[in-house]
Amino acid sequence: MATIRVCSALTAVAKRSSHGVLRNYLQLRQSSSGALCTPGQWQLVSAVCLQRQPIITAEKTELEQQYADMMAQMELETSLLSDQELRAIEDKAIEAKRKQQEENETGEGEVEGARVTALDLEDAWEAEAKQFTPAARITEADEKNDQRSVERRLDKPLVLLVKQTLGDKSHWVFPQGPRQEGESMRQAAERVLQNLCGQQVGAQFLGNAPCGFHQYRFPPKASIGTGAKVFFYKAWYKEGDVIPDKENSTDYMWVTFDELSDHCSRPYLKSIGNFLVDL
Amino acid sequence: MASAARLLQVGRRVVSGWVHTAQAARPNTCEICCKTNVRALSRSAPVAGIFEPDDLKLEPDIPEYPPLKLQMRGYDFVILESYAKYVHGLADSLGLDTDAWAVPARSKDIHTFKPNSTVVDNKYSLKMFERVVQIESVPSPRLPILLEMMRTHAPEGVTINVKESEPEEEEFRYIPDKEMRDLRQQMKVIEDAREERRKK
Repeated sequence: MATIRVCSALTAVAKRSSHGVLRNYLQLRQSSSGALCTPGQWQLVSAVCLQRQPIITAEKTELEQQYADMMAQMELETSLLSDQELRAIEDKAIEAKRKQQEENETGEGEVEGARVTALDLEDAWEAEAKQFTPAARITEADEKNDQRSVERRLDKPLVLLVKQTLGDKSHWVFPQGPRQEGESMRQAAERVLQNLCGQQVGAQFLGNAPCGFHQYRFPPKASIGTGAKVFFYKAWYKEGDVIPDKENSTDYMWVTFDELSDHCSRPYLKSIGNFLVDL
Repeated sequence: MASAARLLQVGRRVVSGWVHTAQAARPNTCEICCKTNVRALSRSAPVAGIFEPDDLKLEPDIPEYPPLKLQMRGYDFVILESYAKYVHGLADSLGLDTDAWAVPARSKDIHTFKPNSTVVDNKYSLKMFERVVQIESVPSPRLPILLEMMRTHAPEGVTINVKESEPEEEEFRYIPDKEMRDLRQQMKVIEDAREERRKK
């Protein structure tokens, strides 16, 4: 499956990037430092939607397979003969001529140099091809249904969910954390990913602009503010194991978009669904 | 000889004819043909002043990426070209200024040998084809969308590179001009001979 190489200069188009717009918003708000803010304030939170893109192409559906077969047949019928096919025809002609000479019993017996026939070549190629075994489409992780493995569903995009305690309850969410003083939302997202998922995880962030938004209110009793506004940043997973730090994130799993509804709350799913695309 | 030297000095894209040079003893006249270059189409500017609109935006509201190239390479021509057409259409539908071209293919001849011998076992002649879609005035939030759609629909066997243009890649597209190269070679020989004479 193709990976897209993006040169590092592109990830740093931060001269007058969209974080400038958010900076202005923050200045208007006069928010205080760190996670705590006075009541009546919204906490700004960055979240990372870390996606492991599909590694193999998906299987064709029945209709797609039928159509593909039909198109291949039509193309074969309207195409010209390839070198291999022409060679096979030549072989047949030579064979017929040789048989005719034998029947006529000319006795001269012109033995031509051993000609490598088209069929011989095909046999040799088939033998060579048999030596190659392609990797399995359904991996061990699929069989064990190991949701912590990145090698799970190779034909589908996987997304990282992390079990975080927000308030008093623990939720399955994308790794999120509040923005701290002096950093942009994108920098906050990168920091959150490193802190919650370990230093080993390599991710390619796509641009400085967030791809989605979600907001939720805090319980009024807690008096840590009105609520939180979560900005999602998309990143492509490159390499590395996820090692959750036990303070903030207790567990993690890699799930497909269909399996998200098993773990996430409905309002959260609604916000996520706006930017998660599985075509 | 002087004429050839002049041609070479002026620029490699000049094939024939004189070019009016800007550097001259007298301003606004050409060295070679002594013609004056000044021709004013309108005389109202010195009189009435030049109008500059107030609401001119020198920079876009949303910051934009510099011109980027979406380079697609692959050994399978059919799949590559079909994908390149798709990407071009995708970039157009996202409202970007696009330009697309094919880069000359790079050939590779591969010989495999029988084990522990120099007897050629197989010969393969492969061509790495390349297609480029250049996108300009890309607002910064729009590139990730394009990249994601490209990745979702990318076929097997196509390598994609997203980067700014490099001068070597631009040079590679042009067919080398044999006449120009031969002339330059001659020039070099003459200059080398001159230097040797000077040293002696």
